[in-house]
Amino acid sequence: MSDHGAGHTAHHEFNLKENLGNWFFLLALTLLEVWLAYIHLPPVTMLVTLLGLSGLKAAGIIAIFMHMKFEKLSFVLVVVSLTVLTIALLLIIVPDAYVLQNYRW
Amino acid sequence: MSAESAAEHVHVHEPPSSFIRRWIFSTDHKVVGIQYWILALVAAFVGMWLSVVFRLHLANEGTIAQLNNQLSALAPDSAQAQALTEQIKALQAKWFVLTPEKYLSYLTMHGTILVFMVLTTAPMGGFGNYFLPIQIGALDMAFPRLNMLSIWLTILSFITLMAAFFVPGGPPNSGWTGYPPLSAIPAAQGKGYEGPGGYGQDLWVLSIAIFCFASLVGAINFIVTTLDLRTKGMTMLRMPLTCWAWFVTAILSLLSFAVLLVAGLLLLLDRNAGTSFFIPGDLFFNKPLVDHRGGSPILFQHLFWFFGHPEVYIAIVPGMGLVSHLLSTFARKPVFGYAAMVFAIFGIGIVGFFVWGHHMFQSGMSPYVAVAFSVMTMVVGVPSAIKTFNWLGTLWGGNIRFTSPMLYALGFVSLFVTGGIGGIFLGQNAVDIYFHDTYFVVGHFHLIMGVAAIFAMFAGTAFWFPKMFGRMMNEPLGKIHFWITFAGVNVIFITMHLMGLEGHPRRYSGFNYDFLSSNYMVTCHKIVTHTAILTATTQLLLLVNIVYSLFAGPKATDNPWEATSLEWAIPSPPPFENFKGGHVPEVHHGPYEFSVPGAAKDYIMQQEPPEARPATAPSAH
Amino acid sequence: MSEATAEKAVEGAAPATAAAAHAPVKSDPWYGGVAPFGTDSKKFGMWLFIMSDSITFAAILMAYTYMRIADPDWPLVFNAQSVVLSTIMTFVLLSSSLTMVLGVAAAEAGKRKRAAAWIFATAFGGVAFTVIHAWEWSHVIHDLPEGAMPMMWGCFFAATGMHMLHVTIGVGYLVILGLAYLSGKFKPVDVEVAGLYWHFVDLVWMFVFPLIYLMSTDMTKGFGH
Repeated sequence: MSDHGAGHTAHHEFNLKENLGNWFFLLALTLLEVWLAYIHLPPVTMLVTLLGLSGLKAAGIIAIFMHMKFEKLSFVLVVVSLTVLTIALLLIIVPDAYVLQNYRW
Repeated sequence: MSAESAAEHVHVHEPPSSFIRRWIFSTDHKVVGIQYWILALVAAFVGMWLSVVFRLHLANEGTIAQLNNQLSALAPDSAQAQALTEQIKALQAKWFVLTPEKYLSYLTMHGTILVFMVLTTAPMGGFGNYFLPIQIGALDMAFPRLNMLSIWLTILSFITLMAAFFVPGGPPNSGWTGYPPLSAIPAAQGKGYEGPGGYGQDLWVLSIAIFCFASLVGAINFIVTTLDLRTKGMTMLRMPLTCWAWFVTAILSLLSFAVLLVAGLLLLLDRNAGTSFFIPGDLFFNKPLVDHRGGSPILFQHLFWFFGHPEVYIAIVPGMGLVSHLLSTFARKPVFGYAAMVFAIFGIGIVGFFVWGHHMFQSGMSPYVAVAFSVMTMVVGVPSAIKTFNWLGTLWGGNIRFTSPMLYALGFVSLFVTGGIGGIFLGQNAVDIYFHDTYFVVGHFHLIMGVAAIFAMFAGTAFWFPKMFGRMMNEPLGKIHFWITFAGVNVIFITMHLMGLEGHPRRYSGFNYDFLSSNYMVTCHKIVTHTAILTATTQLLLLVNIVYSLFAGPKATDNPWEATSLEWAIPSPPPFENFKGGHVPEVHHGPYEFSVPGAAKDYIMQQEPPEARPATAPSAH
Repeated sequence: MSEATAEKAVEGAAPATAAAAHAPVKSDPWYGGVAPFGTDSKKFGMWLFIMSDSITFAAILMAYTYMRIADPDWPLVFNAQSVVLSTIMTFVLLSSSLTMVLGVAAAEAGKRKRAAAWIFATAFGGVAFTVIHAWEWSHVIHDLPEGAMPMMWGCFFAATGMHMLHVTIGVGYLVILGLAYLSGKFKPVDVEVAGLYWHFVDLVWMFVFPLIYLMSTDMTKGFGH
């Protein structure tokens, strides 16, 4: 399952370069997002792009800043999949909003 | 043999010497468990007697409506009419005939108190806190301080809810579901809410928000405890089914209360900050035209039921685990299909997240979505049936001991089946359009979620009382309580099913009974009310039993029920550190080793040495 | 404790039977007696909190999405000034995440004072974020029309308000943590747990910022209100 066996995960070396790199990466993606706000994209394209970029940023924060890459694979799968699935489930709400367009006000 | 390997865990604390730290603001999971249990007991009695009050109202409201109908047929000045008027007035004065607003207020408080403060606290916070660490062989929960935080937040939440009775305008009247726009606009709440007022609803939302946080903290504690603190040899598949049930319940709480918190938060903003998430435009309430616009009450329903349906399972799943445990113990047989039970619990938990829409078939949902929700709802029947048949399989050919906890457990199975069948009707969107918001729904959810879970609590109380307080409960008293309550709830809620079939709408404080088959409905209401009073009074027997046994019950031995799980291997009541000197035993057996061929006794406790189980005996599961 | 040889549970002198074949393996992390994920229980608990909290934020953003879809004429209320301001806020928050990482690393290396310094720097970042944000809020509130709030601003206040609440709690948490860690009450793992919370607050902003601000921006409005 994992490359760490039954042992403790706590003692990984702190990698300054990796963390600084991650910080630059997050800043760069943020600037890219802001730049997207200056050029005019159709809302859906904009939304998908922004969510994709934000997903990347989230992955960077989770994996490196939050040390998720040092955890066991089973742990990562449990935490990430449960959260993502539950959030995805909330999407069932969205189609109702289109109905609302027809009988507002 | 295993003592030296267990010794490395030991970090025993002395019990705190001050009374307050030991028994009130205690981090001991056993004290917290008992606090939850007492809270639930108090809340259950408050909620139950509220229901008696509005049942009295309903029984007499029908008669009054009939008399009013007769009155309208008479000449207004005739002596007959005057006599009738006097009769109506006397009836109203004598019985609790409420205003519609008061009726709805009591209904709301009854639902909220019982769902949140009883069904969600006792099975999980009460028994779970007390017995999860002991059953898996831990000295305490993973985060004892958070545990204390969670019980005291829950108590704070209960006090906040109760405070709604004492603010201007009284308690909220939008139902335990708190549907907007009724709950979102203070002016919408009818008489008594004009002017300022409406604080009852704010307190209700606050109470729920606090409760969300308390449950979240509790759920985190349960999950970490279950996974991280199992003793050696207590593999996941050697945990008693009670622990599995608490584990799944904790996962459900973790993922669902978060969404309820949002519903409450946005509702609070709508009420107090001028936003309009749940308030559609052009609403006309009393006089003022509300200038909110653009919101959607259906969004609230989605957010609420996203939590609300898992909540149903949060209430019932611990009961399922407990009942599986008890049926096996008192039938002296291993649980039929242990692994299947585990998967069924998980199945119910997972599918439970996909079915919230079946509460909203009437809310204007897309028919395609409704069909999907309907199909998923039917799917819940599969793991539920697996559990039911496994319970029957556990009983089959068993050497059944009809003790009072066993009777309560059997009552649970019966109520679960009876209530569950109503669910098959309600889960289909086409049929639900007729049944929606009738007494059929009331009867259904009371049987399956309310009373069934309450029976599991009775069972847990009767089963674990010796361990918690060191004394046995009175058996004959318990059996009388069981039979009257069991008969009573069936009469009450099956009658409600019949009223629902006739089309009697729920949540109406009064009704023009000319519309329905009048006498039939009034009679039904009367039957329900009389039985409800009888059943509610019978609950005093339970109280008497608890208080009497607490002081005068016969002393309990360590293992009065000859059960196998770890809590019965320690003294009754357990010492502060659970396992003497903090030496947690290593576990060598599955949780349900009853009637093992060739064994010395008819049960093998989990911590007994491996040799206790003859090598020739067939594998348990 | 035992080596990788998958030893069966001791069955006395009896040979391996059908029952023993299914007996649990002692070296399995799920055997009991150890945390199966090999993660500290406190960290695991914080991760569970983060799971739940992220669902809370997802639900708020979902409510916003719902409202937005329901209204085809959603107003694009943010101008270039707001975008610049919120970009600075993002920068502050991201940098505070970096200082938090450095604090956790210093704590794990046993450098108590340096760790506390980084923790306080992180808290300062949180304060700076809150101050800028509160300034923006005060302007928005000042410009609100009488009566009920337009939906756009309702969503704005719900999402950013919830986030700001988390930042504020986080600042308090960090200050207490820094002081307690300096006086030797907390262990390095407590710093790491607090770090998880702080990074999560940062992570949420990574969704609030594009969805609330960038999706509702009209740059043609230029600077100023």
